[in-house]
Formats: sequence, C-alpha cells, structure tokens
Amino acid sequence: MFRVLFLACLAGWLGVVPTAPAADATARRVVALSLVNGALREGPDTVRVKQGEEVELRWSSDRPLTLHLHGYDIESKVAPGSATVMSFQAKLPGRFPVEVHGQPGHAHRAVLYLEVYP
Amino acid sequence: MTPIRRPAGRSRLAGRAFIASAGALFPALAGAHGFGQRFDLPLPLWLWLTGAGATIVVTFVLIGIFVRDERPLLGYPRLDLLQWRPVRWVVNGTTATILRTAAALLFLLTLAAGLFGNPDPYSNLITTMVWVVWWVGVAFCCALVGDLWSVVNPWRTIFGWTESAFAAITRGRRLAPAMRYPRWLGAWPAVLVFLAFAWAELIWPDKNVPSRLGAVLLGYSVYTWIGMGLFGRDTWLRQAEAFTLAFGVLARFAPLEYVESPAGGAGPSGRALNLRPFGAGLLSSQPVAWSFMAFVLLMLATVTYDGFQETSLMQRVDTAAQTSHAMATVLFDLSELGFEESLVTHTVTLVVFAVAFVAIFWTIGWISLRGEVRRSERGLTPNVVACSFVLTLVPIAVAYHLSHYFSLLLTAGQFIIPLASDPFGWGWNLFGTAGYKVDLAIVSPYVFWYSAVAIIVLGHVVAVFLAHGVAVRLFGKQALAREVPMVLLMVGYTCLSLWILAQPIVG
Repeated sequence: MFRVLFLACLAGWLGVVPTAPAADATARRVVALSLVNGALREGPDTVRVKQGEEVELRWSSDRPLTLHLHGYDIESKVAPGSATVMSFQAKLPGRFPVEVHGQPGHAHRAVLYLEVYP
Repeated sequence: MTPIRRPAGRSRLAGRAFIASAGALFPALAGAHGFGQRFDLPLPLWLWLTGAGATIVVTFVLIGIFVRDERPLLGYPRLDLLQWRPVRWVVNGTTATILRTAAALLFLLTLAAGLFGNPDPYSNLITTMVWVVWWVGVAFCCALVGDLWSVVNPWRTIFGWTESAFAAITRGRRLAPAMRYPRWLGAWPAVLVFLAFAWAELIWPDKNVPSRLGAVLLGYSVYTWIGMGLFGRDTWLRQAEAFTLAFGVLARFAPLEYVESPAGGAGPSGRALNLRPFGAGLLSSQPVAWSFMAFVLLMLATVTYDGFQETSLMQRVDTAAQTSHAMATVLFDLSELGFEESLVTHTVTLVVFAVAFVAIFWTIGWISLRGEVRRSERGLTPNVVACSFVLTLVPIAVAYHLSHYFSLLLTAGQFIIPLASDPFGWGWNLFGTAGYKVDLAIVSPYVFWYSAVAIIVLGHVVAVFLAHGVAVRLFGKQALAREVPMVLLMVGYTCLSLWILAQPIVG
C-alpha cells in the first residue's frame, strides 16, 4: 500500500542545483502528498526516513490550509493550484506529526507522521 | 473535528455518508496527555519481544528462587541517614520551612500567571508548571527519592499560615475542626477527584488554556481548604486529598522514608530518615481499605490509559463507536447537547478502564482462593486478597510511568527555563533566559528504547518479589500455588505496558 515516491538524487537528476560532492552519498527523499478535504488522499500516512537524510515533502491541497510539522517546527501554507514544499534535513530522530492548523471547527489534527530513525 | 450532524440511520444516504466520513473524522485531541508532545519512536518489534520474553524468563527464575525460600518478608533493611552529622545539618526544620515557603510562593505565582497571564499555553507558566513540573516531575521525585510532596504541599502550608494568622488576630484561639471525618467516606473523595483529574489531564480539551487551568486550580484549592477547615488539616490530607494519597502511593516505592516517632525504629532524636530497598514501603502488614484499593487501581488504570489512548487501537475504538448504528445515535443525541463524540467515547473508555482494572483484580483475588481451603486460610475473602496484593502492582505502574514520561520531562521540562524569566508571558526577561530554545535531541531513541525496556522489566521483578512476600504472609505454605494467578496478571500487565510503548503515537 505504501506508495512512496522515491526519487533518489533529485539534485543530480535535475542537474540544476550545484551540490557538494558529499551530497551524492546522502539520498534526497521526495514525497508527494495530496490533501482532499484536509485529509490525505493518497500516499503513506507515515513517512520513514533515516536520520541525516534530506527530505522534501511536496504538498498539494484542494483548499487553503496551514500545515505544521511539529518538532522541526516548520509551518507552510498550501492552497489549491500551488504546491508547497517542506524541505529540511532530518537531523532530529523521533516521530513527528504534521498537523492541519487553523481550520474553523477543527482542532489540530495529524494528517501525516514523519518517523526519523537513527 | 467536524460535528456529525446526522446519525447513521436517520436516513440511508446520510448513514452511508456518515460511515464514509468517519474514517477521516478522528478525534482532534491535540497532545494526548497533559501538555507538551512526546516525539518518541515506538519500540522496535524485536525489542518489544525481547522485553516480553525477559519478563517471562525473569518470572520463572524468581519463582524458582521462591521454591526454596518461603520465609515471610516481614521487615526490610533500613539505614538511618540522620546518624551522620552532615545529613543532620541539611535535613532539619529550617530546610523544610524554606522549601515549604518557596513551594507556596511558587504555587501562588503559578495561580496568578494562570489567571492573569498570557493566554498562549507555551508562554504561560501554569501549563508547564502543572502538567510537567508538578504532575510528572514531583511524581518522579516521589517515586525515585522520597515523599517530597508531603513536605512542600502548598495547600497545607497556606492553610497553616491562615491558621497562624487567625490565632494571632484572635489572640490564641485555634481553628478547631468542625466535625470528625466519617469512616465510611474512606478514600472515596480522593477517588472521585482523581478520576476528574485524570479526565482533565487526558481528555479535557481546555487543559492547556491557562485561564481555565488557573480557574480549576483555584477551585480545587478552595475545595481542599474547606475540607481541611471541616475535618482538620492533617486528617483531610491523610484521608481524602487525592494528590497527597497519589504521591504517597508513589513514595512507598521510594528508597527514602521519614519516620517521626519515638517508636518505630526512629533514632534517639525521635526521628529517622531511613534508606531502604526500592519498593519496600509497598509491603503492608495488613490489607488496605477497599476505597484505597480502588484509588490505587484507578491510578494504575489512568497511567495505562494515558498510553493506550495514543495508540491506533484507540482510534479504531473511536471509529467503531462512531460507525455502529446504536452508538452513533446515542453519540449524535449527546453531540446535540454539546458533548463532542470523541470526548464521549474517550471519557467512557477511561471509566471502563478504571472499572475493568478493579473487576479484573478482584477476580484474580477470587481465583487465587479456589481449591482446597486450609484451616489457616479461613477468613480469607477475595476482598482481603485483593486489598493485600494491590500495592504490589505499583512498581510496574511506576516503571511504565517513568518510561512513558522521562523523555517528556527532559524535553517539555526545558520550557521552565524561558518561563522562569517570563512567567506571565508579558515579555519580561528577569534572568536573561527568555530566549531559550528547547533542545528536542536531548534523549536519543536508543536511550529511550533500552532504558524503557530495562526499567519496565526491573519494575516487574520488584512487583513479583513483593507479591511473593504478601503471598507468604497470607497463605503460608500454600503461597507458591496461590500466587500463580497474581503473577500471571503481573506478566500480562508488564507485557501490556511494553506493547503500548511499541505502538506508534497517534492523535
């Protein structure tokens, strides 16, 4: 069921971003996630990565939402028609929820968990 | 979460839409326990299985030792620390007064911050103080060191100040207790308060709203002072005050005990600070009262429920409740009255947990009395057995509590550093620490995993050991056969605790 979009070495593939030679060793993890009605439509509900990996969560949504990755404390707004990207290095091990914030009538709710293993 | 406007079954279409949406409508309980978030990774499967296997092996080894040794565990080794002068310099009335005054002032500061401070839970002292420093930190201290709470309890101190002030104004008249504490009341007031407290900690949606928390704290303080005024300060604390009882239960596990009486092993000064083995204080010479047994089991049930409600199994319970026709109808009617569905299901589950713990435990007492009853065992009822064994379960709960919370204490506890400089969240910077950022990497997953399993297995060893001590006292030569149901229950309880830690945290 876990249809993780696994694009290794995206930077090299695009051939655009100049990266240090060591970056080839650290895989870049790109996961596409689409939200419908504030819930995940497809993609895994848990993303597992190794500590130190570069992670890119690409969000799209059918309505404007504010997403908050706890622990890493990254907040992104996502709106219909424009994807938003959470890009970070997974330095901190643990299990971190991405919650939808600021929906009227909704309390905070996790749409995805990021598990960073040592 | 979106309130479900129509229950399944009022119309077929609505019913189908209801079921389809129920999966997406998980309870929106942000931060399942009191305050702050745990980011712990679940125990890996192999580690959970190793822990459970170790639990079983260790149990058999202990039983093997018990077969040869059936001496009753009557006393326990004590070492009076007050025999050394440096200890006497530190442990005395002056130190206690300083600690008490500091705690009472901190209590008043916390209350004032809650009532008048910043509404943001992370900027206001009260949330961190109540849910992390007090409920987790003081509990740890009581379980691992000694009964700190009975020394610093600010309700006791402030009531004492009032008594002194009253005596000064009225020239020596004392506030006499208005009535005697009725025996039948037992620990029941504490049971009810603790259930309400557990609900507030685990389910109450406003638990992180400083002004609400402050109002509840003030309300409970007034209630406590009325109780002290009616029945006498120390009677109320000893019999009916939920937190004095709760921290007291934990402190029975602790290696330090303070004794103040000419008899009872105290030194020449009439007081002693004894060092004793962990858990020794849980060996009681006689069964506890029924209401106290219910209180202890309620504590254990809420500790387990705390972890359980973060598992995906609890989410499935919620979903099942919301999709079953009869339940959904009831939940819908309640939601019309303003009770949110997930609140109702979680509250019901909490109460079910508490009742189930008592029922299962009493049944185990009943089972252990099956079979031929010897003359020496006449007069033993399931009640007596349950009330004798209940404290021996405490080490498992203490161990689970430590494993569950120590990373939270070390991470969320850091909020106290910036809050010390700015308790009201008004932009102060008294000590220059207001800009401190919490370091979440302080506990590595490996430290969490291995210490959690080690602590729980050790807690289990202490519990089985104590249970055997109680069994020998109750059943004499029959002890080994009679304690089997209790030991099996302990194995199950320990494995359940480990299982919860092996579940990913959700919700």
